Amino acid sequence: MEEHQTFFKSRKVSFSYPSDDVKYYLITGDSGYPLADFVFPGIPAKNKTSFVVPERITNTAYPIQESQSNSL
Amino acid sequence: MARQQRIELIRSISELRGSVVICYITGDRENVSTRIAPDVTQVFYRHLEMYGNCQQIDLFLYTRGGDVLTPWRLAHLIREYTPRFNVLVPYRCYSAGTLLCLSADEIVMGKMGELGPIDPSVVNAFNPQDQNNPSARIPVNIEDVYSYLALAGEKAGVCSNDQQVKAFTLLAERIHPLALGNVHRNYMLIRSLAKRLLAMHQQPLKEGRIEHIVDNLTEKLYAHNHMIPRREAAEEITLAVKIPDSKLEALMWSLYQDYANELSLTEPFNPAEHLRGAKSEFEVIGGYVESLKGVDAFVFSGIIERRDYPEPGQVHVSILKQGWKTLSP
Repeated sequence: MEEHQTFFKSRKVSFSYPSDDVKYYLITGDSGYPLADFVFPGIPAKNKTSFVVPERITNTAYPIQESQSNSL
Repeated sequence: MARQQRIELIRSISELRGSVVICYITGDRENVSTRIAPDVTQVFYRHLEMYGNCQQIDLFLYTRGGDVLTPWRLAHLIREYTPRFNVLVPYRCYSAGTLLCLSADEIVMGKMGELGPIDPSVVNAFNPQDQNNPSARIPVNIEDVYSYLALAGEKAGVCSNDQQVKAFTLLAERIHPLALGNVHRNYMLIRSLAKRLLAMHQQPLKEGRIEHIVDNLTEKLYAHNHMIPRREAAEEITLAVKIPDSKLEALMWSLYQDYANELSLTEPFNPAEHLRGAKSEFEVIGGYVESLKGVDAFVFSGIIERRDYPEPGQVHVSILKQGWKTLSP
């Protein structure tokens, strides 16, 4: 959930929004390609150069200032 | 205005233009605003399938922008059903909306019509962390990075190889090299997308004109919030702008106003005003895809609660569901 607060006539109203879905890519150091078949969070540490890249899946809802995906 | 009255406006525009009209509104109402995003493509598919192949499709579009790649997908989807695709711009049609316009054979702009630059901001896992929200990353505007390098070269007299390396190193110390790589990839992506969208026209544009349009919309306007009126779009940027006659102009503006009223675009969404007791449910619409055949809305729904802890009189709004919903048929 993402939090956002707005003041209406001196009254504080806070909004909670569902976050966008997040896809996780495991980039393997030896192949350079995302490893498709794994279950997060049980990522096998294949070697020292592997790392996980989170990528948000954007949808139409745009409740707060964009901060997680490429946008125009 | 109810859908029945809006149908009359859409039908009048459709008859005047000899086209199928599909309206796509991403509302910019505070707290429930929406944007162009990939989840709308299925909604468009539903409307396009209801019509089947047709001579001309006019997209009535109001948006402040959104996802970079969705216009490419939408333009291709719409072109599956028609050889001629146009966009009707009653008012705001910025960023990703402008990108979508590039694929149109004709951009019909009213007096209030506005386009915007196509200079995206990019975010990936390596962008600088937002100090106010540690889980968020600060977007980097692509043109800002290239402007910094241009500033170093042109104004600060950075010309030798050593100085250029220093200027770049300074940048890489503050922005992760992989974030900079992402910037460069998107610098090329937006130019490539714009060119390929312009190449979708029924009458192909000459190479020089395509370059001119892309350069203007990406780097020569110098501000992301520059509002491009129709005269600038037509005469300076050389986009395929068409001026509507007074009847079409009036219809386009009436239809926009109808959506603006329906979505209450000018007033922030404050469900607290409708709170009855300590807790109540709400549902509010943030965007539309509508044609004569049906209407889909992007609906936010959730719960409003009055809370007296930690401070008295607080109102908490939890948006529990948000998504496209078919309202009719």
